[in-house]
Amino acid sequence: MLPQPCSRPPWLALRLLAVGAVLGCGLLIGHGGNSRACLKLVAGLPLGAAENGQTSLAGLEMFSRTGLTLALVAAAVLLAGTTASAAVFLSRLAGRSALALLGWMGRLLAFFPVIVLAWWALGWLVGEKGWPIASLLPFQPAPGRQTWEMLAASRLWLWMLPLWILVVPLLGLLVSEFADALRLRQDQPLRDALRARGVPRSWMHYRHIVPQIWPRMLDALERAGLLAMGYAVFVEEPFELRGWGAFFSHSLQTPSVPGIASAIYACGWMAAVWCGLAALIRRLTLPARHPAIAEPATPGAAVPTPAAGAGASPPAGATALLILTVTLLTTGFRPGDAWTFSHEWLEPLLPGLVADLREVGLACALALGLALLRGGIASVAADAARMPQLGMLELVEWAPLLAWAAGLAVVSGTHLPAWILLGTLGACGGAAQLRDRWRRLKNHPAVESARVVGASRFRAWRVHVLPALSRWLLGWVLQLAGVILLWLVLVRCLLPPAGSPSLADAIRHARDSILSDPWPVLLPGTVVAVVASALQQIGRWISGRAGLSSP
Amino acid sequence: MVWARALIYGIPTVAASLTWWAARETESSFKNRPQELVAMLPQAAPTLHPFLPATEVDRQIIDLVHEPLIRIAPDGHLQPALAERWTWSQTVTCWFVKDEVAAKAAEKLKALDADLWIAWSLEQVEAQGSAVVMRFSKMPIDGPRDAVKQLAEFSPLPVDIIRLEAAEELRSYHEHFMENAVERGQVRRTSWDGPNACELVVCGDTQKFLEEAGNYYQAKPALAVRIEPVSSLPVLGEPTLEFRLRSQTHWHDGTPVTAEDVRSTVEYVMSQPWPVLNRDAFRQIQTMETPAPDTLRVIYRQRYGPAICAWVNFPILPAAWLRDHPADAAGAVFTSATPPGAGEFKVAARNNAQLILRATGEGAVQPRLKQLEFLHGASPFKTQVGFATGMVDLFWPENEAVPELLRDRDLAVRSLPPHSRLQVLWNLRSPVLADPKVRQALALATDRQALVTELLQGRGRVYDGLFAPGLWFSNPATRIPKCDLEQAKKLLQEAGWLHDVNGIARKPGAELAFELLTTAGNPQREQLASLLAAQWRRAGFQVKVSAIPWSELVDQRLSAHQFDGAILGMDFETSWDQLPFWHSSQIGQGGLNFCGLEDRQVDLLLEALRVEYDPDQVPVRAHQLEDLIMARHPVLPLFTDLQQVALRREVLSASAKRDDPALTSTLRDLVFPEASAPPPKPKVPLLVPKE
Repeated sequence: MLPQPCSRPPWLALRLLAVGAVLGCGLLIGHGGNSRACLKLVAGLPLGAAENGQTSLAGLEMFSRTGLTLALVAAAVLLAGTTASAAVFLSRLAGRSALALLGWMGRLLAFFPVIVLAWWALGWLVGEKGWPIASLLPFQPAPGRQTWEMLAASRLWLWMLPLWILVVPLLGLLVSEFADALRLRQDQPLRDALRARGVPRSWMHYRHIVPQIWPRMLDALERAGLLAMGYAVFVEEPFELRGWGAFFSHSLQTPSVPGIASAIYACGWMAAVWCGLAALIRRLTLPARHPAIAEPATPGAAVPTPAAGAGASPPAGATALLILTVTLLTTGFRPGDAWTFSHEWLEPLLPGLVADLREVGLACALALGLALLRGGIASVAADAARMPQLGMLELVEWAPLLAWAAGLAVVSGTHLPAWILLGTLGACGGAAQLRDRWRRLKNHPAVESARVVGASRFRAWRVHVLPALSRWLLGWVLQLAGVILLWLVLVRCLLPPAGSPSLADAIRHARDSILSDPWPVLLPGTVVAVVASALQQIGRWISGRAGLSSP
Repeated sequence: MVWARALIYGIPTVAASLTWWAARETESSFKNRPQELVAMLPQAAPTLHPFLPATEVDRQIIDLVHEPLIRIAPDGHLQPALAERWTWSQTVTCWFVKDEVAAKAAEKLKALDADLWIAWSLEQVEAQGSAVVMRFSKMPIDGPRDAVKQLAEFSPLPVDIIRLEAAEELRSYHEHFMENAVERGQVRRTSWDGPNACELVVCGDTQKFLEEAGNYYQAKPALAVRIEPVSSLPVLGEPTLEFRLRSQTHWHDGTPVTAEDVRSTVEYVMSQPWPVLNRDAFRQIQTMETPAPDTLRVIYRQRYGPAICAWVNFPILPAAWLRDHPADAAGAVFTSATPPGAGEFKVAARNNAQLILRATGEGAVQPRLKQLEFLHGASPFKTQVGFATGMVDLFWPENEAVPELLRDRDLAVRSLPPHSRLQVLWNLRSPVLADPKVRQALALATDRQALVTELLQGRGRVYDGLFAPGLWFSNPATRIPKCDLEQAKKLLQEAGWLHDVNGIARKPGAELAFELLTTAGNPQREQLASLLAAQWRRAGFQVKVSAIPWSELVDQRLSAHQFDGAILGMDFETSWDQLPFWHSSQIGQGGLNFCGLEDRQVDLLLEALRVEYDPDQVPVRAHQLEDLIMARHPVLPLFTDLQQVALRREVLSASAKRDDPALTSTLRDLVFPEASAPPPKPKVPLLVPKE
């Protein structure tokens, strides 16, 4: 779900701001705007009300709404990060298998659509528990009854509920990342040496292991924040929080091009501030020339890579996923007051799932083609001209891509199906990774050894590089398919109902009666999570076996 | 290391603990709201126009804030509000040729036996110039008639009522005429019907006055003044309604409520074209006097018993506020400013999101609830959220949503008092419908309950009365029998309409066919017309449904009696006057007797009811009238409108938790405890004088 940590482009904050402005202006010009409107957008001035009364995000409102959303995202990342750290650090005591299982569970959680979580929480808390939601219905108690506890609790509850909902997918994501990072840094000789000197285990962990994985954790936190900006749209909308996400969602549903353009531009600001903050923390907590903040790798330079197969799914995770998938697909369960087992719930979802998977397949094929084309050209051109990397491909992976994708999907409407958009965006990240992988495999000692013993360049490439590259590509496509499935469903939830079936329709349908029965909304969400994480898990397993062993 | 551990384990723990505390605290504070009620309004912010409420909910809110002189009690009777009591009396004035004659006439009356005065309810006789003014404490006609008979020997001058109507503003011209006219002394009273029309009470040589007035206004052709004698009376009788206001009553700003406030309110309302209920009754007012701060004397131009009804639920506002806030036709003044009321609740806050009313605690009966909060502009989803979380106690659902709501055991659904009714008017001059048996057959062929089920999801209210339900003079008994197709066909056969093999009723050379008019652009009415036509077809009628615009329906078809049947909605009024709708004098152009009902017996009852002042006598006459009219089937009543209110059972008083869909409920019923039975009167032993 997250890009490779080594591909962070320089001046990321400024690039995100610039791309946000370019996208916003592009949307305006594409819908009849002029240079004056673009200038207004960039200057943060109102663009005037659209025909439907929806205005653009500008001035003080832009500041307050983006500030609220950024605060929500920051708090969610902080909470998810600390909770994920606590879970991962505790589970390391149970061994590598426990870490692997935890990582798998994290991925399953990360693929659960956040919109489903938000609506289910709303339905369950309001409909079944009867807890108040102050953002939906403000309440003014009679004078004399207002106590500071009441005011403080009301304000706190207003924000804590959306915060925890936003935390859930981020927690899954970060647990998966942290567990992987920790597993890769379980340096047995170092551990034995420290133990021989009588160093306690906790000291060993916090003084030696954590500093090693901290750069990767920091990268993961930064990228989780960018992803959370997209998720904020789906959390703020049902709770009607007065943040950027609710405005964006309203603009998407209206739909209002000035609103969407200004929201995308404002999102660029948020992303820039967030990445600037991350850079500051990185500067304060990491050594000056740590590899994770080093300049992008120049062609031919050795790039630190995880050991072959290190990221692969361990048997425990794969087995658990397989069992869960088979159980869901063959028996089915119906959560609710009584947990009854039946097939009935799955049958209405199957047409939507099949239709979505068909579009995911098309998107993946498009992404693969574009990635091969763009990545191949980039690699060959870079090799030939020794030209410096501009980092434009990596930038797409480091952007608040979900928010941009939602905006572009709504604006393009019927002209450009969502799967084409998602496939194209996915291809950008794939091209960057393909280029890195190409360089890494080309400079691998096995290839050099083959050339030394007289193998031709093509033979060395066919025997050593091609099989590994093919496996990696297959793994990448499968992982991308999981992400595209999730995002396709999320974006479709914002679009008006289409003629073709989709899991988003099932979510929308269940949402209509969310207060009386909140449980049905979980079913399409569970299907998305299981199928997407299954694709991701298989992809990880194949990718993990795509490395070359040293001669 | 310690800091890292503290952060990693501390932040989630603290966040979870805070979340749990905030959730529990918020839940308890939101749900534990003693004596507070939160209502969710279905529409935008209420305008709080006291005289023209936009919705029924608006009206109920205004009823809590603004106090009328008289209101309708839960049992349907008149109940004192700002007015402690009210009495009717009448003043009869006779004019004579000279002052001396008037003085002699007054002396003669004063010299009469006291028993006669008591019998006539005569209280005072006074000579005022050439007039004798007699005050009667009661309203019967006999007393003044007998008293005037005693003055016959002095030859009292007849009184003529003359009406002047102009195309433009008349007042300034009339004032100029009155300053300069030779015959101006004959004009005893002037009362205005708006700026362009007035009625003059002329006593003396009326012919001369008419000539002079005619000459004056002929010189002003642009005015196009029409001068018409309306009636001629032997004496001038003027009913007087006197209100005594409750003492120690204050506005919400602390100033006392006075009779001047009442007078100012009426003048404020009558200066604008607001269609307040019973506006015509206010137009009958000749003058209003305030002999004391707590006394208002209203003198009417003519005898009109239902005039009291205009004061029922008519909100009174402070004169000072009215002076500072000039009225406008749109009523925008009430949107920008909130007048202080004298009701049990005052407006504590009013903004784009909410309206808060708080109890003043000054009323005689303390409300059960101390604060009412109205949230407005909320979606149905938010309403559901509010109710599910215990935050919203009351809302006004769409009728379609009610069956679903009734499944919730925590929720009670009550009806709001109806405000209008739907009915089918028959043209009694229509060749097909002239026979009463045919109209009766139509009534028998109508399954009104099925209509209610189809159109109102079964929660409508079939009603067949002429008067507003729930009032002391309306008849709760049902007169129209249930749907009986066989009986309907039998009646048609008796009327000479025989059914052919297709079930269509025919006479030689004619089919039993008529046209049913309804209002175009009103889908519910059009659907109702189709359903009615389908029901009547089963009895052999051929019905053609025509939907036409409202203006065409009323101005061209109903007024000209060019229709067979028409679906018409009518608002209920708190008045027993039905003369405009059924009296034979109202059949002509401009009248509202669209059916063309012409019945001398009905006319007499209508006239008697119009001059009935005794509220206890009204029900008897009203029931007679209703029976008489409904026996002639000029109209087929269908059902009343239905609005419902859903409320949390917890906010109902203990005695009000009975589950009866027919129960009506208003905010006032909810806020105030049910009136307990009055304490039994102590038995006073009969004291026999000791020998």
